[in-house]
Amino acid sequence: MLLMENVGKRLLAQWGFNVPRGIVVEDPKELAAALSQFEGPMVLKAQIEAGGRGKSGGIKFAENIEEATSAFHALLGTTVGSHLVRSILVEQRLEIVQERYLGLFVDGAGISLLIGRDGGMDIEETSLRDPASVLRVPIDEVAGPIRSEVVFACERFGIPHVEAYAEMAVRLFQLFRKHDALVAEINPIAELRDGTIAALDARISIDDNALYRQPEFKRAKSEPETRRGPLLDHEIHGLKLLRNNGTIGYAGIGGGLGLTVIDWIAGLEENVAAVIDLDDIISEGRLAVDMTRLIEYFDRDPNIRTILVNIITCGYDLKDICQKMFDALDLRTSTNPKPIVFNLHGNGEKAAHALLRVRCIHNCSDLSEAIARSISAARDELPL
Amino acid sequence: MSILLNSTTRVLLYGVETPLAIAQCPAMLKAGTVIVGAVTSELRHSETPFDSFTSSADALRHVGHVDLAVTFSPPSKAMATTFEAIDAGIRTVVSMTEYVPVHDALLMRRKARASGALLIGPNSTGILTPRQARAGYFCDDVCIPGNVGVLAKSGSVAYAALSEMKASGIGASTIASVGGDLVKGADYRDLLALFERDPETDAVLLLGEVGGDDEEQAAAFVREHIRKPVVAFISGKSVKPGQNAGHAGAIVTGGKGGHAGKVTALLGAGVSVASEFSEIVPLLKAVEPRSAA
Repeated sequence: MLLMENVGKRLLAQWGFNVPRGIVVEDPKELAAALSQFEGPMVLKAQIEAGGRGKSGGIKFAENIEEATSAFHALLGTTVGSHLVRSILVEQRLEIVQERYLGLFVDGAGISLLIGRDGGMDIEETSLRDPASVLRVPIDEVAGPIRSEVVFACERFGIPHVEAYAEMAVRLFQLFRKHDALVAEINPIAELRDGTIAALDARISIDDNALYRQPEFKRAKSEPETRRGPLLDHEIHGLKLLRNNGTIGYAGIGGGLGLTVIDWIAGLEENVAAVIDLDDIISEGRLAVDMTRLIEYFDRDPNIRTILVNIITCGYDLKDICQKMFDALDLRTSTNPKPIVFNLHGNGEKAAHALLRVRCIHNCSDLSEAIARSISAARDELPL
Repeated sequence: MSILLNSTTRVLLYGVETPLAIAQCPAMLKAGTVIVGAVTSELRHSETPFDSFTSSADALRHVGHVDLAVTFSPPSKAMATTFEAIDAGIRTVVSMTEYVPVHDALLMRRKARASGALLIGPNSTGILTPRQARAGYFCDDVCIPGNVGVLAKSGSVAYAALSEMKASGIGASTIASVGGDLVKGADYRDLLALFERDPETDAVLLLGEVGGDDEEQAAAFVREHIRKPVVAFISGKSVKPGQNAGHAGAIVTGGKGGHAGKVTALLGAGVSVASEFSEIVPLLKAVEPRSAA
């Protein structure tokens, strides 16, 4: 879960970082109240759960109240990088001498600290053009950054205030560990005219799997993510719409296999339009209900021409899955039912295949056949 | 033979009170697994077909040696049970738990490395040596015994590959899933090394996916250390590189982690890469004579 900038900055402030004075506003009344507390240049920043705002027009500068008011109206309610802007952070604009980059992230190798000689919104391009301007320091997940390594890196980049950067690296690491962060980036971290250093942005992402022990961020997430696909009558949790003019709806167990099937079908010049991993749905006992909604959705979507149900399971009982799926099929009311291709194998398959035969449902012998049949059905080449 | 698990491997279970484990335990017993007991505070003896103990120490005192632990604990307890198994001196720990916080996974891996234990997972689908023993979800229904070692992240991709192999009469020596999480214990390299030493594995099938650099590292390892033929397939060809990547990710990967890069790395290491899923079986058939010679 990516924290909004203002939430991330509040967190940084709690951990001793200097952040600009700022107020989050959502309507003209709040804006007027906020503006009365600022003097001189301001920055207005769209609060969305996405990065790259500088480049997509989500940040505006203002010299006075009039400019700030018009910047506010220019931002509120617009879409920045496909996210609807519902709130805006108004901040005092500080005098920057030099922008740097300071970030921590975790990947397969562990936790790393990144220090960038030059921060700012072109950091990605800069790091590619001049790889030596960014230093990656592996960090022990328990001990944290070694101060002397940070000092050394800063000295190499000619960064003044080396001790301050070492201290910030240590605090950022403490925040990172304490709050189960996957990424904690300050870009830019800026050296100011008055000799202080301030975090001018915060991009902190919290591990979704750890939210159960990070309750404060559940509250901080006030709005659901802006929906980018067509709205469903019934929310089907976990359905991913691929928005590629695809013709096949895919339901199966396993994200990896879903991805494999998407690739396979794309290689044959057809596309999967929507994909769902049934794993959690089955394990939580929602298969009959969710499958009914899913089939209804697929039947109604004008682009989808065929449905592929691909389950190869070891952990579940295939016979049980079949029965739940038949329950869903019995509730199907569509006047335009799309053909469904089944490829069901694995634990309990003997009993499951017998059930399929009783209902005269063809079960594909393997994935190749299932995909070939799905594509033929999508192209109206094969009556099923 | 096999790696990590066979008909004599003594297995201790953790987290058997979770719904997933309740369904898996009878299936594991039926598949021939030697389950010496379970460590749990929530089940009484009568509720499990094997002995249950309140601590690892208690279990080891009663059952003697344990080769391998399988933990089904919920995410909030996955780290604690893994630590408990490692502290009890069990050398191989398979963590089946999905949705483990990354910071816990980091500490689990650190602990395993410091203790010289092999941690498989978290979020592993498990290990199966067909017709001998099962530790996790992989089941005998989808495969037959044979001489191909199968390594996967995703269980579902492995099931599909095994089904295709079975239909063509190609069997597996052992199937193991390292799990698809960002931070994991054993990676492909650790298990490739075991397959290389296993006399009954003649070829390895490596099932990878886009993201991270496990496949690139596996490729470098194959080039240096593996003499047996390796066939690979990478899922996610239609995922665009850089999707969902933040600044930090983009800086580090610099375009790495994509499908094309992984395929190039594997080809460069002499691995036969199936460009489509349906090419896996033909490629495995093609390597068999070479390995038998």
